Amino acid sequence: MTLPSSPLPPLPPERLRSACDPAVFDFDTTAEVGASATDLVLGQERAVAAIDFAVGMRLDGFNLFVLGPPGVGKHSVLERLLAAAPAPASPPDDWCYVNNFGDAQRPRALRLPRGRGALLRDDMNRLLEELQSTIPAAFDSDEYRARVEQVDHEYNELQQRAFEEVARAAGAQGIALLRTPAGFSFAPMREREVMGPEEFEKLPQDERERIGEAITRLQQDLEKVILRVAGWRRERFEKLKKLNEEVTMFAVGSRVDELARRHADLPEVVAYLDAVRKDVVQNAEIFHKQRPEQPFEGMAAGMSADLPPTRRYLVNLLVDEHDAAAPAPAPAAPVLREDNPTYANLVGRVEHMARFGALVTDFNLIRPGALHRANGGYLLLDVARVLGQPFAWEALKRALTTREIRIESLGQQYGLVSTVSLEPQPIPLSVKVVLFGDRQLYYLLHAYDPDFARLFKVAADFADDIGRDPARERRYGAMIAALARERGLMPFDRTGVAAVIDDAARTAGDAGKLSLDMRRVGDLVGEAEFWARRGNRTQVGAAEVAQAVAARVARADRIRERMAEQIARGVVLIDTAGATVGQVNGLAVYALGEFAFAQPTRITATTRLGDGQVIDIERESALGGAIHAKGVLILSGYLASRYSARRALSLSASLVFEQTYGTVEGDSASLAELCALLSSLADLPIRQSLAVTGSVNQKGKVQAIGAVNEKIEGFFDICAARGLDGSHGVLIPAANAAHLMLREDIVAAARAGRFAVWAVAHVDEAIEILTGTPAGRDDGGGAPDRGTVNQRVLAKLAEYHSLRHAPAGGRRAGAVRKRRNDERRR
Amino acid sequence: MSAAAEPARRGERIWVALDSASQSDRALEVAALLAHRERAELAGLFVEDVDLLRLAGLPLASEISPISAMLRPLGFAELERQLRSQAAGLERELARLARGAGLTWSFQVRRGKPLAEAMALPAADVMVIAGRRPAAPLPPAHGRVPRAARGAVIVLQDASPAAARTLALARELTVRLGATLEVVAAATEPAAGTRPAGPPREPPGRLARAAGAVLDAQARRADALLVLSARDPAAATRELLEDLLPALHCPLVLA
Repeated sequence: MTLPSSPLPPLPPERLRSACDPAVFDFDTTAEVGASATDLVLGQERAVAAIDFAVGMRLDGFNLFVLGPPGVGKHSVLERLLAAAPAPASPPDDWCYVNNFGDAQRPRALRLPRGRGALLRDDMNRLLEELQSTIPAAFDSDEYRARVEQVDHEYNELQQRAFEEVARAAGAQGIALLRTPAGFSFAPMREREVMGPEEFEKLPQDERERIGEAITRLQQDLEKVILRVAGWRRERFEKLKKLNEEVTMFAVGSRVDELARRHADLPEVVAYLDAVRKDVVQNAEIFHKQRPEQPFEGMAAGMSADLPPTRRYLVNLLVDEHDAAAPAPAPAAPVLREDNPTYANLVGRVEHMARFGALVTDFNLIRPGALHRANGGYLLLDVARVLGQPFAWEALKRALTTREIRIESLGQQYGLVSTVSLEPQPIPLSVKVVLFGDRQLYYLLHAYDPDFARLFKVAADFADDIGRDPARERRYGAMIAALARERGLMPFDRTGVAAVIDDAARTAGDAGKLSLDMRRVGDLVGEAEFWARRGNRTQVGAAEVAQAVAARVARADRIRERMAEQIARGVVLIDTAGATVGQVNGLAVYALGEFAFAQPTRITATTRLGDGQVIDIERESALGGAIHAKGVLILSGYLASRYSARRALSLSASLVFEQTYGTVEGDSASLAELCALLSSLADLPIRQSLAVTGSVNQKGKVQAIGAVNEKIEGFFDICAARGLDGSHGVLIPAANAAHLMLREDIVAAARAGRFAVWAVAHVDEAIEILTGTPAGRDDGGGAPDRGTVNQRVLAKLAEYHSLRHAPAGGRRAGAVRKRRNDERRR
Repeated sequence: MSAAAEPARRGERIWVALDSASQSDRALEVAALLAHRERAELAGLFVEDVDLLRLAGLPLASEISPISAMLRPLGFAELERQLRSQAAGLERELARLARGAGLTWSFQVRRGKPLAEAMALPAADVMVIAGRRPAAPLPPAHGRVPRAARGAVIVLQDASPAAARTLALARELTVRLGATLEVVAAATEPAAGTRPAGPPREPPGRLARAAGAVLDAQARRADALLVLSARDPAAATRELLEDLLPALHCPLVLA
């Protein structure tokens, strides 16, 4: 292991920020740039290729999952690409639901060429209107009445004659046929009056018997007549039915024939019209307008729970987006985005109407879902929303698997409602579903849902950022120009464009990258234009962009300001001057919404004789996360391997983040913790004007961390508030030096020698800068030089070891010796 | 003389004569219409036919149901219950119509011969006699067929002085019922629809026979309405009605 022999110099100021050079652009303002919409798609070549593949692939299961962080323009890019996609070979069909005259509970689905659905619907509306007038008119005609009267007359005559014959036969025997309130009866007559009981009793026995027998025969005759009447009624009913069908057929036949000729190229429609004709003929009475003869009859008729029966002849056009009267639109595939993908909104639903306390429905109340509207095209869904809606994900998968849209009521499926509902005929489905979501959801679905990989075979993975070089900066500039043009903003001058690009690098957290968070870029462009407009500028420059960034920070800055105030007032103890043993300034990042900032945190370490345990107080108090705990355990490994490889580590140490009351996660403080431990063991004070960030491995090498810019800025602000004197600075991992995109004021302070940033690669470099004492070489098997940090650490550990493993008396003597040394040192 | 010009005759009654064999609904409707027109009391008369009561006292009395052809015994008490129930139902219906039209009303039940009891009512009052129910009424041919015209009003014209008043009444009923007017006259009378003039040249018996022959054909129509003058010699009218009533299915207005 090679250790630095001299203190590491700080990074030169020019390495603290990689600003975009405005001279890289070949325009003065973005108004000169012939930017187009394609310029808005930047750095997403992989995703664009995946989308292009999915759009072109017609096989099943090649649905698309668009993944990537929010704001990278997943929706806009996809919609732009879909809009530019070639039109389908055949335009999407129209789908209608019509009555199933054989089983009204199972409405039939009719497929018609694009635009013909509306035509059929309008045709049927007109037919219905006509039938509602022509059929009643036909039945109200004198001809129809005459024929009904003719039939009625015939049967009235038959009946009357039959009864009269019985009455005549009775009269011939001195017997009268009488009407009682509930029927007929025969009675013996005398002088045109019914014979009374006394009079009848006076008749001779044989006469009474003759009358009785005669009445019995007459009753039998009458019974036969009554039975014949029932048969005549059936005959009459059939005759009238035939007459009604004849009349109705005359009224409806020619009109339906006309429609059948009009739709002759569609056999399904012709068959449907034939069914309509038959149904109208069989149910002509539903076309007769009711004319209530009494007020209460009218009210009763209106209170029926049934829907108007003529609705059965309507056509429910599920998706009506084509105006048949307008010129034929370009046959583009529909692109539908469903923002509320509930089960019903996806697969459709059957609505009900409340009619006098009853819920009733028919096929006209079938409502389309997003799958219906997108059929033949593309359906765009947010996967998190789909998964958040009960049954929606399963319904979507079922539809894609079966390739049909089946409308089923959840209430019916689960027995929650008992109203009569419908089972509409399923509609064939041909749709490309595009899901949008983050990467975590994509991988979770892949891992846990076996259907997912089968149904969503294409992933369009949107990049978070792109590499940075002058060529890409120019493309980025073109994208900013396109954004400004698309949104109707005033032009940006080249300094403004460069400032936006600098902010993109800062957002990427890497001086060598540019963020592709289009939402953030778009917002910044818009906000900068706002400030330029307010300042009566005609173009947006770097000052306006800086103002927009500052204003954005100021709007989100309340909590950072409060925390800084607590430090300034000494409520939160942070030293920025002096030196203390076992105490170092760590840096913690706080992410609140889209705003992230950092504040220094005091980390302290204590060491004592023990059995090799490094106690992480955060973990012990359940305030430390797993990664943080891992970092602390690495420290133990480092201490043991470097300083106590041949003997047991007789150390007990405690580490704590002072004045933190929430959880601590991450290992970016492990370098600071190690330095605090070494300081404690070596008994060397650490400069409090410095702060440290970085993680270490078991070999003592410093590893990269995140949010390096925010961390430096967080410590800089505290120091600047107390006054920079040239002693202040931050130690960062050398691997993070390439990420530096610090604020201009920090760069200026560094340039003036009032602030420094060190990029350290090994803990020895860090401890040397922090303590001002050489770390001490221990490579090659030799012991470090006397007085160096490592020599002091080794000595202290050797002391602990001898104390731990000495006999009892010797241990006491050692303890006394240690106490004396401590007192002397004080 | 038009009905509208005729002064209201307050205090009079419009009678509707009913019995167990009556086709009551149309008769009640027409009587209520007339009572409203005359601002008169709507008076109902239900006659319990003594012939039926005598029949019910006979040991061989039985009844055949027209809807099942079943034979069942018919006792006196049973018949009385049926008649009372029928009368109560008709009274309720008459009261409902009267209340709907804002009329005063009354209802009487008498026992006797239906025609005789009806003819015994005050001669000055207008009377509606219900027609007979058909032995086996046919159900409507088409339940919801709107009726363009509600039957016919048939008025018998003779040469009597009351003929003009009867014709005017028939005309008004024709309008109110949305019906057609049919005027029937004896062969020797002026043409149908014209105002008769002069004294009758035919004896009443012959008139009755001539008119009866025509009316017999019309009377089977349940949607018709027959209007006669009650001012005819009572004997002639009664003779006509005795021949006519058993086959009369429509209401008869005696005015």
